[in-house]
Amino acid sequence: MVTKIITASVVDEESDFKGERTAIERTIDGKAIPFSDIEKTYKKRGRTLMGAVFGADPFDFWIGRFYVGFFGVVSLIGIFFGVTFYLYQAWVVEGTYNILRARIDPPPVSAGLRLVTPGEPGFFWQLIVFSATLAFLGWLLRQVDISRKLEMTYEVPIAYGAVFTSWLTLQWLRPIAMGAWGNGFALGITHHLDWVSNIGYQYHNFFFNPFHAIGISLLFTSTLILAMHGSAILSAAKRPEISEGNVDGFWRNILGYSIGEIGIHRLGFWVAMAAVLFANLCIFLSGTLVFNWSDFWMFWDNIPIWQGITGAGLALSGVAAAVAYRGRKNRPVDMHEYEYGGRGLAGTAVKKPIQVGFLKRLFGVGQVGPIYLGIPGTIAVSTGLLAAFVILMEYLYQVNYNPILLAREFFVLTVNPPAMEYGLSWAPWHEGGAWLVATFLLNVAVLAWLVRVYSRARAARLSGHLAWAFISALFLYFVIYLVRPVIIGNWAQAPGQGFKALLDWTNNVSILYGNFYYNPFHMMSIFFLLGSTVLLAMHGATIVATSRYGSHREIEEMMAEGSGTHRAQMFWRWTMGFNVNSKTIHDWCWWFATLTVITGGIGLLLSGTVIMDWFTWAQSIGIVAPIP
Amino acid sequence: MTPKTPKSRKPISWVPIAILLVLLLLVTQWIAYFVNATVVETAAAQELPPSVYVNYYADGSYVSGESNTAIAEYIAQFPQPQNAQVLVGMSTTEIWTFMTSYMAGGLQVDCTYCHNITNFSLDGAEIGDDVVAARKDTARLHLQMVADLNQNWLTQLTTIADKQPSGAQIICATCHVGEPLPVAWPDDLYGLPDDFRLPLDNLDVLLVTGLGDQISLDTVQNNQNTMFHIRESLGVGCTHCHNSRYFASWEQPAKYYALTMLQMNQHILTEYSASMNNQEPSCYLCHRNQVLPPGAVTSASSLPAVLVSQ
Repeated sequence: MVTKIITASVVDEESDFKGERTAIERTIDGKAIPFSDIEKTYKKRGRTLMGAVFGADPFDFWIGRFYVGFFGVVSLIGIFFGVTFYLYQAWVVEGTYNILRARIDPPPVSAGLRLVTPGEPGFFWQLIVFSATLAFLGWLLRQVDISRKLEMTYEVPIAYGAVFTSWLTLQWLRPIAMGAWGNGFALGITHHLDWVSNIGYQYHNFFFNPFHAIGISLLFTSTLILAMHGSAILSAAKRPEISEGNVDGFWRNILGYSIGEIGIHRLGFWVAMAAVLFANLCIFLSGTLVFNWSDFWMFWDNIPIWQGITGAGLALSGVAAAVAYRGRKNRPVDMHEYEYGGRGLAGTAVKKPIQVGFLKRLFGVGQVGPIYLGIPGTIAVSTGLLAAFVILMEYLYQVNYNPILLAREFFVLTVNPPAMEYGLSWAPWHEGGAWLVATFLLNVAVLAWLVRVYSRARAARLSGHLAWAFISALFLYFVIYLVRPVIIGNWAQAPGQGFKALLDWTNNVSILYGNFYYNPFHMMSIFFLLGSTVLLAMHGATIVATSRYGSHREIEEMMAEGSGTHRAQMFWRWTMGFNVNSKTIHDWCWWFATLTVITGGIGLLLSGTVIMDWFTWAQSIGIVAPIP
Repeated sequence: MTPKTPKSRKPISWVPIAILLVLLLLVTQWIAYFVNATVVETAAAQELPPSVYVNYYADGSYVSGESNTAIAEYIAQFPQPQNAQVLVGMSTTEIWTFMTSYMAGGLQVDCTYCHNITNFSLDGAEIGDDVVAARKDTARLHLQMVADLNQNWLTQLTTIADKQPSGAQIICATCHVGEPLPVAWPDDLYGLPDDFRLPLDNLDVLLVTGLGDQISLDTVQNNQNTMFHIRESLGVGCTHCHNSRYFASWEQPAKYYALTMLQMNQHILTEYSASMNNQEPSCYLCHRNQVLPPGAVTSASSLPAVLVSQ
């Protein structure tokens, strides 16, 4: 079905909902309908996959909130046997009553791809993997059934399917490609950390796996998107005078672009799925085609364009020409075409809005600009640029002002903090002085940005959720760059300013303090990081799948729920027995995203100040899997 | 409400499409090349003929006809060696066989590289060429070094439980791999800006885990650079020597091997560096991206008894 996209900020699009009264008016006039009554109207038999193929689904009913269905039964069988085998392996076979210490290893590599017999190591691992795969497949198809029942599009099962491909890659495709189930993923709770450590370092240094880097970046991007979207909706909650326009105005003031209500959910849906798909690539290539991610980068220095200035110049001018050519095409549009003129929030414009067709096709909103500068913004951007300038000049100094070498080594070059001997004092410019200045400028930049985020939110009559989310991110930032170095007493504890330097710092801190995987706050941070990505995928997919019923108009839906939000709620209620609403989903989003950085910051703050070795700490409290 | 304007069809912009196409083409080419290279490498590795070495082949003879004639005359004249100081207990013929296959073959040089072929036993000024004389001195010292390393260092590997060493022995080709003057750590091997050489003056700097604020992250970075040196030289990942869930533990036997070899490198540095153009030894010098150095001899039985560990 072709869906009309509704974005209130752009008037040349016709709204399907025009003529409706505003949500607040409807709320005041209407009367509350119990959720159970609403649920009854949606609970109807039929429309299942089994029904479509065989004419009937014997399990087409609900038990309480849960929808069963044929695939629910399939899934239940998988779940039941998977859990039973898991506990049997942990408790009976390994004799580990502390479930955290269970190993649940695959069969040895020497067993190849055969099915091992009962009594051999890995027998229950195989049974668990088969059961889990069945459970996941059943769950996927059950989501398809529920989508069909609610007449939603299939984005949720598609997003779930992306995660399912990760399981297939990890436990099926990669072991088969490498010729042994022994290459599968260990299922023990802390032992899987051992597996990840040993696989990461088996292929030299996983931080240098580019697909790992992209995957991790996308996980953090997901968390950022989740924080921004959660904040945007929450900051408009319980403020009946606020409409989507205020939020749009806020984002355009801050960033120059507001992606719009449907756009943010599309972006979230795509980014979260992309994170998973890049993760698949990252692990599948390791051990099948790539055995050394450090040497993988040898190709970089051997690219012919470094051979002479001609090649690099040609490449650069090609890019420049393309940019210039594209840049010309976007002419300023007539201001009158838009809801925003030179008044109100956007009156602070420094640039006339332009219309970018590409963005419009992708997210439903093509308007870029106006953007608000203001004093905090000017400070933030200028100190940020100055920091970049200091860092770049230092890079140039390191390569003897050779531009080709600068381009070739850009991702390797780093401006390091002063060595440990300098403590917290000043160091000569090329031995850390530049780092002190650049980092100080960056600190000023992020604080000024915080003021900007907060003051623009107030100007748009929104609450400060985004500012508080940004503060939680700054907590981690300042723990890394300021608090922890000051507590320990030297700047050398902070990472250098550079791409490789950040990867090396992460690796080195983990090695210095035993193994960061065994840091419980790191565990929580990773839980919230991956949880954020899951939430983003779930929320984005749910809204995109119900957007034809208007569920993406969340600021309105928070006050008066429409059919789209009802369907979204029913979907999760029937799937997992629990649902949120248009407001509370964003509470979940906001807390998951902020707790990622808060727990991460705590974990780092404790390392080297309280705990010197997380692995021996984990051993002392008995959560490390024993060596068999 | 503004009147609805009909959507104008914009002409397709070919530039981004072309750029995307070119990028896609390049990436596809690179992937195809990469897969092909990996597959061909694996296939090629399986087709090599047997050799006394782990993975080194000295094709053909490096000894000229002139040298062969000279040595035949020399053997006829002196069935017992006149000036053998290291290779004692061997007949001249045995020494000749050893030298042509292992020394000439390992360095890929002719007898004249170290000898005055009018009289093979001459030393020093008698040779009549200072350069050749110096080479012969170095060669003799290096034969002593080979015996020293095989007998005093490789033997230590056998003391480790759970894993037996392969029994491979050091010989000329182990370091030289067909080059008269091997380079221990080529300067241009890896790019800017790090120093990846071994910290042979003090191996204790490699201990980092759990030292908290006693050491700097720079020390950890140096440790990582050293580990990079070892990994790249042996062509293995960290898990060859470590249970990577805790790098400080000693669960993998190979970690003991690596420590013994690092200590052997310290020994080489103090005792023999002067005869190696003052180079620091490296793991790469022998290992050349393989776990067993390709130029090592697989069994002690094919070498003179004086050079090997029994």
